[in-house]
Amino acid sequence: MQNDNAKLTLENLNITDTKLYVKDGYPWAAWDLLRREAPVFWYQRPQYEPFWAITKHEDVGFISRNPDIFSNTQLLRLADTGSLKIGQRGRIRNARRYGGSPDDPPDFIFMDPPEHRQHRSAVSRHFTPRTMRALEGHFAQMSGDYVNKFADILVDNLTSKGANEAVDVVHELAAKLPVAAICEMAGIPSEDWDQIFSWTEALIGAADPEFRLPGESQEQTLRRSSGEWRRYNEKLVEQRLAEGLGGDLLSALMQADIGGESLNPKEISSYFTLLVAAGNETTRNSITGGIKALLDHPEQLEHLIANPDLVPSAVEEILRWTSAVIQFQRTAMQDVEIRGQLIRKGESVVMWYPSANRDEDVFTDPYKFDIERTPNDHFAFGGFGEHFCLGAHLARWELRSMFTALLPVMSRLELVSDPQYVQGSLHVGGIKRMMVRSKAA
Amino acid sequence: MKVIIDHSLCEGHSRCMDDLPEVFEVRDDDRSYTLVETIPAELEEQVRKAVSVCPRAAIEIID
Ligand code: HEM
Ligand code: SF4
Repeated sequence: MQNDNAKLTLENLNITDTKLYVKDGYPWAAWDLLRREAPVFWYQRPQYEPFWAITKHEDVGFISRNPDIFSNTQLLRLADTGSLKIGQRGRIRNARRYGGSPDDPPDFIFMDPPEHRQHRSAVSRHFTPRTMRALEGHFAQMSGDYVNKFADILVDNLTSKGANEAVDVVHELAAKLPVAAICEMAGIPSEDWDQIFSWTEALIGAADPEFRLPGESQEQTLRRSSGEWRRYNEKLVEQRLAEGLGGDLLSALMQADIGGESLNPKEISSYFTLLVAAGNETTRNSITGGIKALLDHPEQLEHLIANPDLVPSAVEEILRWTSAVIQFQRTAMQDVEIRGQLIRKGESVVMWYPSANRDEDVFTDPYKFDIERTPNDHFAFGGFGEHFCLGAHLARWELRSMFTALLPVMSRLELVSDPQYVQGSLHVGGIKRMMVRSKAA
Repeated sequence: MKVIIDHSLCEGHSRCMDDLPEVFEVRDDDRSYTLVETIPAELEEQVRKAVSVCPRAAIEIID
């Protein structure tokens, strides 16, 4: 995917221009060059505060397991200076309206240990492998239903007057299970799922005009969606208080015991939003990206269809291959060396997960899509350590059930056009539309 | 070699037990426990591996 006209160099490479992500997808060639020539690279470009770009698997691992050195409390993810200002104004507004200080961590991702562990453990048992295994059968049934509905659309399109119209696999299939699964766990009534889905799309995709209401700016979209969602959460809390608590995530947050104290209403709402939002675009993109990867590699697809017990291993490869989360950022709390390079106290490091997942020192033939890859210690869910994705097992079970259900349909599918990418996000690299249809028999 | 498991981090991901059931056991509280006081010499290499693949970096080698 090398840019053919201009030679890529450390001086001209660009891994932050979101327009390039929309045009070409992830900047693989630039990351390759960084890993090879400057794995700890002081990146300075207009509209971004300079940072250390970290592109090797080993270094992402080192940062992730040392939260005492690399803090989450200052900057969480790389954003241009304009978006950072929007975020700051939002926090000031929220503090004015709901109390507390603009510097309060909005949720536990922004915390360091020991606070982080206490807060995360308020809900962590809802996401353990054991809890997920209990839901396995239920996920399988939901996936089966969604795939059947999707297959019906394909067949209808194929048979109705032979037009064989294309279908958007993102909205007709990939988007459905992640919202349904987390909303069920959260205790959100099914008639509200569509609304929840459009809020998460707006919060994550506000930089893309397609996810705003007509005439809205990015900031107005964020403000409206987060305000509406917060009021919705407050209503849900009141309902629980009136009707009694249950085994759902909201009830768990309302009963949380954090060193003898409970969460305040602002925290309950933002934690709840985090839990519901974190797994939507990410899991959806892994489903879409997985479908594309399998269609792009017909021999792997065939092998998987012949050996469905390879689904769990194929899912790990899909996670590595799609790397739905692009980066998270940390701030050094002391001087520290990475690969002999001095990082000074106060400077920030940005961990580029897709790059770590193509690191040739860890993955043999990293650009080969191999559903049997072993070992496959990818960092799609972040480096191993303090903030490792809380929803990793939920996402895994969703993907496993989805691809198991999809297998019988997959060999009939064909891509109609290249996927369209979400504009403006440097955090979750999303496919917003991917048109497929049935192969003509 | 001895190891300790930090229970403020461990969430029962079970990578340790999957690889080394003779050393690690994930119990009903979703936490991993060591089944041996001292790691037998022939398992040290595999224990090092388990340390590096624990998703929460919860296992520490103490000596
Ligand atoms: C394929 C889907 C997913 C991917 C690729 C993904 C990826 C990630 C990544 C890269 C991180 C940051 C880790 C770090 O900073 O070290 C993270 C954190 C997190 N994820 Fe996921 N995630 C996915 C699905 C989910 C789901 C379904 C949930 C549902 C609850 C979820 C909830 C969270 C939360 C709460 C955190 C913050 C954890 C913390 O700071 O302690 N994720 N995820
Ligand atoms: S692999 Fe790590 S988190 Fe998982 S059970 Fe073992 S110690 Fe706990």
